[in-house]
Amino acid sequence: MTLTLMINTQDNRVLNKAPSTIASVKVSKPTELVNVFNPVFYINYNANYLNANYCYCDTFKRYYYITDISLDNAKTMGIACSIDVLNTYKDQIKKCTGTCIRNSGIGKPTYITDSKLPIDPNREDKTSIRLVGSPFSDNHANDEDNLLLTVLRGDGNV
Amino acid sequence: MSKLNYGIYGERDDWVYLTNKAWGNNLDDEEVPIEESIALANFGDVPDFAGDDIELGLWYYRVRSTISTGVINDKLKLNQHLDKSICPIGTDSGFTGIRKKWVTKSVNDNLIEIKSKPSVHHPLFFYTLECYYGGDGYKVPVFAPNDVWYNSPQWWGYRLDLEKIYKIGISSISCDDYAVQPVVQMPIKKVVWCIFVHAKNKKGEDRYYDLKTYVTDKTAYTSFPNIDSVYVSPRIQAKIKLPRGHYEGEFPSTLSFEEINPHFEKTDIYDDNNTPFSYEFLKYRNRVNDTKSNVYYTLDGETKNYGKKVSLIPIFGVSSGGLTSVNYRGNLILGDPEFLEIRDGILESYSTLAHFGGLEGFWAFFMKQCAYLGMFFTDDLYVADYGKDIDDNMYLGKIDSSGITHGEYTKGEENAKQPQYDWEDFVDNDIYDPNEEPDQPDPNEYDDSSLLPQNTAPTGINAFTTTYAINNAGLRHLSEFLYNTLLDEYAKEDLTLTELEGKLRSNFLTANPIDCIVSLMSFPLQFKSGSTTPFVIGNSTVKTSQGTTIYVRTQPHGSLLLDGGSCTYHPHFKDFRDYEPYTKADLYIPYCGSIGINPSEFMGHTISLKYAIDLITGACMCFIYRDGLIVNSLEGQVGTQISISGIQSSDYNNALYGTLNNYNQSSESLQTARVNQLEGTVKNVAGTVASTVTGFALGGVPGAVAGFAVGATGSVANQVKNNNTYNIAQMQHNKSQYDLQHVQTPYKTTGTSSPITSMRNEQSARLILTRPVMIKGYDSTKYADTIGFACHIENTIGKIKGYSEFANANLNGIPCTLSEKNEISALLTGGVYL
Repeated sequence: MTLTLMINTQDNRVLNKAPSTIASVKVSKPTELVNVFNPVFYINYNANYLNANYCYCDTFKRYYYITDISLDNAKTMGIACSIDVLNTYKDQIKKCTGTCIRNSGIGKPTYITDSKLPIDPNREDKTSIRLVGSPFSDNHANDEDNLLLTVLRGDGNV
Repeated sequence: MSKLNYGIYGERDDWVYLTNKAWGNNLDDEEVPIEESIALANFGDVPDFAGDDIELGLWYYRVRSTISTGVINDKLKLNQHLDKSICPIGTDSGFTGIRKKWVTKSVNDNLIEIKSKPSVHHPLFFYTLECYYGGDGYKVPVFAPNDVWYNSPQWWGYRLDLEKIYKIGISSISCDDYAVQPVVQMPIKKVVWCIFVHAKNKKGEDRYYDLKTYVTDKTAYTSFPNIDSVYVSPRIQAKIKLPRGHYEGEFPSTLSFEEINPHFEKTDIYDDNNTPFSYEFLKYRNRVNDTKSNVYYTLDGETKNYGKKVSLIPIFGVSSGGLTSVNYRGNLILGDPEFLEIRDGILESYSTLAHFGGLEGFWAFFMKQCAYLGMFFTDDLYVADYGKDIDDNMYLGKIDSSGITHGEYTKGEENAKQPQYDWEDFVDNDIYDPNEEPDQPDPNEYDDSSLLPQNTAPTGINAFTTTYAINNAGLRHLSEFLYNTLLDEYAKEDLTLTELEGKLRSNFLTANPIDCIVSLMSFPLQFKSGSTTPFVIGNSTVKTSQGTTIYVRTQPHGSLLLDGGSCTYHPHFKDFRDYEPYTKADLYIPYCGSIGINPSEFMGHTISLKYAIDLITGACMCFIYRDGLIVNSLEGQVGTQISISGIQSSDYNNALYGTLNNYNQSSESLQTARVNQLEGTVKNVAGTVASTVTGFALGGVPGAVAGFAVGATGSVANQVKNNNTYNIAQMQHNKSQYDLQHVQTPYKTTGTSSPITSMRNEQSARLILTRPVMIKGYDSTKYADTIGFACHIENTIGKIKGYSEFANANLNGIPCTLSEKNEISALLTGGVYL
């Protein structure tokens, strides 16, 4: 069982991580059962290994976050790990189908309502558009023939 | 991915292009335009560089963003993500080139020392053309392949470079000084790199062959390996249409580009059929004499001013040193670090096939180098121009899961299995329409227009009434006629009351001429239509005191249908914020008030109004159209009733109104008593007025009108009843006015809302929009990177890039434990960076 110790500076949520490798070391015989999800590996001590925060186990074929490092008499290091399922199964995950409901690549809000978009609750912008073509005069003082008089008969023939 | 999305890239005029200053050499003080392109990459030749400090530069093609370049503590920094568009440098990167700062201590000893050497993972290429201006008497030191330093002519073309391939971590790149904007984003499937061999034929003439031709049938053309260089050139397949234009260089002098390059011939890159000219055609058409200043290339774009170039799409280019004895072919690009480090030896190695391991090795070597691009490439010119993506001679550089190329490639149908084959530009919102719905069978017949009936209202000219459109002068004529002219005329006749009444009935159809007036309304309109006729009221023609007949126009219709204005409702944000509840829209309609409308109902449509106006009562109905379809209507009051009674009508009506109220609240007997009392009161008033009328002592208008109001006492009672009826109508009218006040304009109004006051309001309809405002400090880029924009993309996860959250991923096919699968599901739901 070989453990490749690495340094990962990327966010844990990154699917394709590109950690830099520190060293590949043989794992000492585990003193107890090692589970695949949160294993603890024991390796020979090396001060450089203390910088590691990420690793790969060739036996399990899984990537792990290093959650804790413990020392035993300065010769053995206990590397407590937690699996990184994203990097481990990234190739398979990429082939899966999903419905993406939020995405950065869109670049701008879409027509899908986004309740998280930080709209100011206390401000709003008010504007208006004038409908062109009003029939009404805006200067009544100059209006001509703006009165309608309806009279009895008055057919003009009298 | 298909078209240029100007919504993303901005208008062409907004596109700017990288500018840079002269690199660290003797020309530091000169600003030198640098043209980089996805143009020609040259595998061969000795790199040339003048001077020893070459600044770092960063070039790439990407969507609109601002970046700049510079060396910051020997690190590149960039303030934004690299683009996803065209070339694989990392999974989130663009077509990027980096010139790393380096120092040549000596070319003689074949030593190129690269400073600050970062880890190298990726292929990287760029192309640069420069023109340096040395000025008269100012010679630029250039080192030539034969280890001799020359002083160059005044102008010389310079250079085609490729530097190392760096894996770019976002955190290690920054921007400083130079603004870079996109040139263009091209679909990777539309760019095919073709490998060419520049060699001499048997006659010793320079010729260009595609690699396939050269390797398979070289003896027909040339005496291998008498080659000058090998290079690749991008072929833009005919099916993509690029912006048009020319490049017109503008240099830091008064010289024009043509003056600098007298042999340069501007050439359109398209023929009359909008098909790009072939490479060979362009090459020879644009080529200039190498013994002159040499920069020749075709650029699709134009330069408006120095430092700001628009829509620049270099198609190909060649740089050549300006020294007559030197024929530079620039440098190279592709490849792994080792290749770069031995490139000085490449030229020498051309003299023997052994360097490549024979002819096949020669072919394989350059194929491998081209594969580093991670793009489509071929050794066959015809395939480059016209071949399908899965043509047997079409190759595609392999990209591993980390986005790194290794010089491997696929060909033919295997290309379709490469990730680049399916690269999509889902940034393009134009192809993403969440509102698109599948066709549904629908038996209904739809009609998107409304038809209002023709004018069916009774005409104003009929047996009983006539409507005149008059102005204030006409009204004064009428007043003068009734109160002075007519009375003077009657006064001349010695009439008894009975005779007077009979004469009035004869002339006015009633004993009270005022009763002849059915209504007098004022409108905010001008009635210009209608025929001109004598002004007749009842049976009397209105005349002046001098006997001149007054003419007015009749108004032929009892109602009007008028256009009330229109506008088209456009989206502002072009996203969900344009709709409720984020954006609210109200429509203010003069004389009708305002009404809230739903933006989704009118977005993208034309809003228009039509008024149907009752000319007798002044009431109106406004129809609200969406395009040609009526979707709503609103009632209102346009015309204002003008009082024609000399009595203070309000007081008079109030008295009657109060009487009516009391009347309704009393018992029947009490009502009878009050009616009798009322009639008695009126009789007394009538008697008083009648005596006054008899004497024609009409000193003033009120008296005159009171006189005309005199009829038989019975008719007075009827008048009372009529007025009661009128007041009921008035009460209803007031109620409608009251209602109108509460749908009036969104801005506050006080007081009454009669039409006469509405005339003081704005006379044009308005669409009033209330839009949301983002909180201060909102940064869309950071928001996208950390929260992401709401979307709905159904796809395989591998085709989605950037920060993403999934509603429900189908995790079939992952050979993991249940706990692992649950965690994967939770992470995808919570958000991951792809």
